[in-house]
Amino acid sequence: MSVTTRHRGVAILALFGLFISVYLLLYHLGYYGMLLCGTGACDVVQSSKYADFLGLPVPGLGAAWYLAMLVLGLMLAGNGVETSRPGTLAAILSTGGLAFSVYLTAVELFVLHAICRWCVVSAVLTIGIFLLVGPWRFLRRSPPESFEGLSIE
Amino acid sequence: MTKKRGPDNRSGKGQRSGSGGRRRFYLLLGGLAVAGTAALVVVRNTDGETSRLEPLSLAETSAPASAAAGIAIGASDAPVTIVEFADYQCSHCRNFNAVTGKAIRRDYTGADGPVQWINYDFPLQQTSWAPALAARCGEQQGRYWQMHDLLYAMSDDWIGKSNPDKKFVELAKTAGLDEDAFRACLADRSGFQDIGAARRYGESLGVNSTPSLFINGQPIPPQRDFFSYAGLERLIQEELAAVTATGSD
Repeated sequence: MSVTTRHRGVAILALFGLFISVYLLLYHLGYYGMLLCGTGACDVVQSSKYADFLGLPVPGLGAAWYLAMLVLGLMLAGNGVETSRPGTLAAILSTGGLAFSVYLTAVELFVLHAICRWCVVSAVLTIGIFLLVGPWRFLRRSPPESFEGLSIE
Repeated sequence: MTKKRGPDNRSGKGQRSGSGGRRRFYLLLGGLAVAGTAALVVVRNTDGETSRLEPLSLAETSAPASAAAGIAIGASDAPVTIVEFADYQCSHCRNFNAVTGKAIRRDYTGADGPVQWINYDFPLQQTSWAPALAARCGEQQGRYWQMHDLLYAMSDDWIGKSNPDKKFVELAKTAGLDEDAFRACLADRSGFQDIGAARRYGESLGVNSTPSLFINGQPIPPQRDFFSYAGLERLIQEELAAVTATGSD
């Protein structure tokens, strides 16, 4: 899969995640009276003390993260050079996002004993973004893809 | 000598294909953005005006945490006290009430029963304040538990509906309440202060989800099987045994 295709995928997943985060943030701020959650326990999760992290609403942090990944995805899909500075940032952010998502899922499963379906979807999106960004590729420090067409004769 | 064979040297067909792919991608992204924004607006419009009793938040009440904000059934000197923090819109609370809570109160909180059960409102959502007020308006006429059980049993009829107050009045009539007095109580809204005091009391005890139960002051962890009648009955028997053992020492 080319760098461009992978980062287009990142941008699409990030856009989905951004809307989910904005929805949860608007609920957190009281703009929505209740969450559409089916048989899940979104109310339990979203009203718990874990819905804030360092004084900031978790959905707000999620929205900022997805927005950053959307912008980076678009930049990298455009220039196709993932060892550039945006590529480095995307690798760092996708790893951090995955770690935070694992933490939140653990809180749901082992502390609150409640699962919010929106959080599950967000966790899946985060994993997808991580896999598409592929920080391990960055760590290998392979030459930029734009140099691949160059040869010395 | 360096020979460039990169993208710039690709055929015109390849360039057209690349630019077409890029166009399709941006069209897809734009379409998703429009659809997502529309979904947020549609959800907001269907969610709006959920109640003429404007949804409240804890910040809108000034009452401090108070243990007196609970509503009790059973003898005050009963050896076992069960405290429940619940939200009328919480599906687990509804199931717990239907399967266990109602039956335990029926069997254990009689005049000579060994259990006193105290309910505290713990509204998790803004729209959970209105049904809590409806139940408390039942209390004004001595029919809190009838309203409490009806609100849970009929929750599919009012959760998420526009103007659920109308349904609350129907339930009040079913519970045998005086309609005018009930309507006046809803309009008065002063009961929201007690609901705020109950919620703050729960927070002071570390409650962060519903239903949360305490037995003789000790929280019952979710791992204990208190959702089933047999499970909660076993905990009651354990407490009674402990109280008897302490008394005989």
